[in-house]
Amino acid sequence: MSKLSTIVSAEYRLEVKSKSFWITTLLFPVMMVALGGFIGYLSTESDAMKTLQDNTPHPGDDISGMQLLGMLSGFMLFMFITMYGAMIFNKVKTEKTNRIVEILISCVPGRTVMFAKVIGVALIGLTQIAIWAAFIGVGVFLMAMLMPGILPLSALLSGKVLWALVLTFLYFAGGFCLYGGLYAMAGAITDRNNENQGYLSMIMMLLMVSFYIGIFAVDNSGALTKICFLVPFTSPTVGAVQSIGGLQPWYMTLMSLVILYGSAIVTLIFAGKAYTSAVLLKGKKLSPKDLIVFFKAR
Amino acid sequence: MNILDIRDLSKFYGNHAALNGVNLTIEQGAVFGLLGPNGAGKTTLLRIINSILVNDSGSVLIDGVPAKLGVTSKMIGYMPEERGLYSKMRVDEQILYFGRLKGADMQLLRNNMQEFMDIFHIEENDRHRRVEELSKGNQQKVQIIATIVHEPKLIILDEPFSGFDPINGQLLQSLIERLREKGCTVILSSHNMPAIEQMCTHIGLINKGQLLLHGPLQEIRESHRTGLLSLTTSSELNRGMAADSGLIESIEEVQDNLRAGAHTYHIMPKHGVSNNDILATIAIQADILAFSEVMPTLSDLFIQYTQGQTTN
Repeated sequence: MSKLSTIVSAEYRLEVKSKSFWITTLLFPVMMVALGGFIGYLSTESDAMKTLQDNTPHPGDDISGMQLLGMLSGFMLFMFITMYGAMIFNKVKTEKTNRIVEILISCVPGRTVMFAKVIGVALIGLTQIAIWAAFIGVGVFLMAMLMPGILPLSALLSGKVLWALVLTFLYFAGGFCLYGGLYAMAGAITDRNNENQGYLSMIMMLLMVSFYIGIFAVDNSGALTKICFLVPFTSPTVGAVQSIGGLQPWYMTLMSLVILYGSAIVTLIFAGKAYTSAVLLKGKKLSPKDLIVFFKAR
Repeated sequence: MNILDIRDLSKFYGNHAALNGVNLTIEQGAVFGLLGPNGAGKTTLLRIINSILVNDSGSVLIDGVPAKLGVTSKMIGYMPEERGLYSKMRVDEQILYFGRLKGADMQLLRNNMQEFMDIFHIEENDRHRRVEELSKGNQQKVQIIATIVHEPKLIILDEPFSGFDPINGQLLQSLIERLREKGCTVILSSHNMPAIEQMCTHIGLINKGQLLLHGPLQEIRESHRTGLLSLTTSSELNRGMAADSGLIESIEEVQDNLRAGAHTYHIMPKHGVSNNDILATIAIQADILAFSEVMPTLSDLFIQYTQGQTTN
């Protein structure tokens, strides 16, 4: 078992064995169902909601199912990063404040710890999503059994959809590593609450920009979309939307993925350096002189 | 054979020299006390040995191998001054986790964990509890076990006595003795001078990034003897009369809380005067309860060297 997998496994087991994990995992679908029921109830009672229910098609709004899938992928990434990025941030910050960091970096390089954190938290998140997916799967299965023909199951299993799922996963994993690295770096370089808020807000802004450009890119192939397709901070959403929607040639998709993964690795390496140098810069603000320490760190 | 060989080691933070040309060798099986005031460079030195920091010049060999993360890490067990444990993790999982990060075999870790927990009297039900549920002393024990569980050749403990009562201090002392018998080398960095004095075979004194003094403790103390004598009598001495004997350079009464009603004096005899002559002179005046040579303590040497360097 490599040291990376040792850390990933410890991170994963520590979280999955906690009560809070199971409480949130089980309560979340209940809350979602309750929220859905509440909105459903409002829609029958309120005139405003009835207006929103207006299903009349509007010219120019038509998007293909694949584009919709791309948009959904972007939205999922946004949600996932928002939920689990904070977990990475808190884990790194806790290790820094309770000084486990010094023991860890005497065993493994900081970047290994950072990679392990991001992978560990991603696995925790995927476990949670898998449990929710199982709930949904049971629901879909029951629907298909009770009302045959209502769900186009064969369409869901087409080659096009499977390829879209592969692309979704690739952009999703790359985007999570990139933003996870940013959250980890934020956790490593600061321990003052107000500064934390500042760094987190910056990451959130980047995510919001990425998300909205992703929506904009659903049926747009302009210059801004092309740039955002390649820029790593926006490519996880724009890339997914455009590639799945078939709006970009394969070589552009490949280029955007290479840039995204390259940036994610560089971000994680720098997050590792920030983590290692956190030992030396405890309680201090990062001054220009300290940057030498930062770049020399492992 | 030397387990640690440091040659001309320097580390600078900007213009500040945290370590400046440090040369140090520690032989296998030694219990080495690393002393120095706060900010002297002790932690920087320990971090370079652990490959946490990169030195600007010089070399560090661990058992003949250049210090490198992932290569020499397994040979070292390091407990930093500021402890770190996962509060939500179980005690046994925590120990095995840190041992695995050092690359040790799981079966070896389990056996050692069991042995060390027995030595430290960690109760069976505490072994599976979460760290946050343990007392501070027990957390300290867990931290020490996690440091040594992978059987390192070189064990570095930074302020290991903090958080320990005298009974646990005694347990730690016997553990260190046991590790030493197994051939381990232990570096203790501490401000607890009596403990260092009691446990260490060798010491090194560092200040302002320079190693001012190092070697076997007995030899260092021997070479710093002043000839000062300590003498305790049942009644007060006439110091003028004692000084007039022509054998004594100086005599002064010192505080002694051990014996009620007794009087303790520090006497500096004149060059060439034997202890028997001094005793004969004092015995005329009072009953002698205790007599010994005052050996320099580590605290004396610490103050002498660090203040000497400050003055210089």
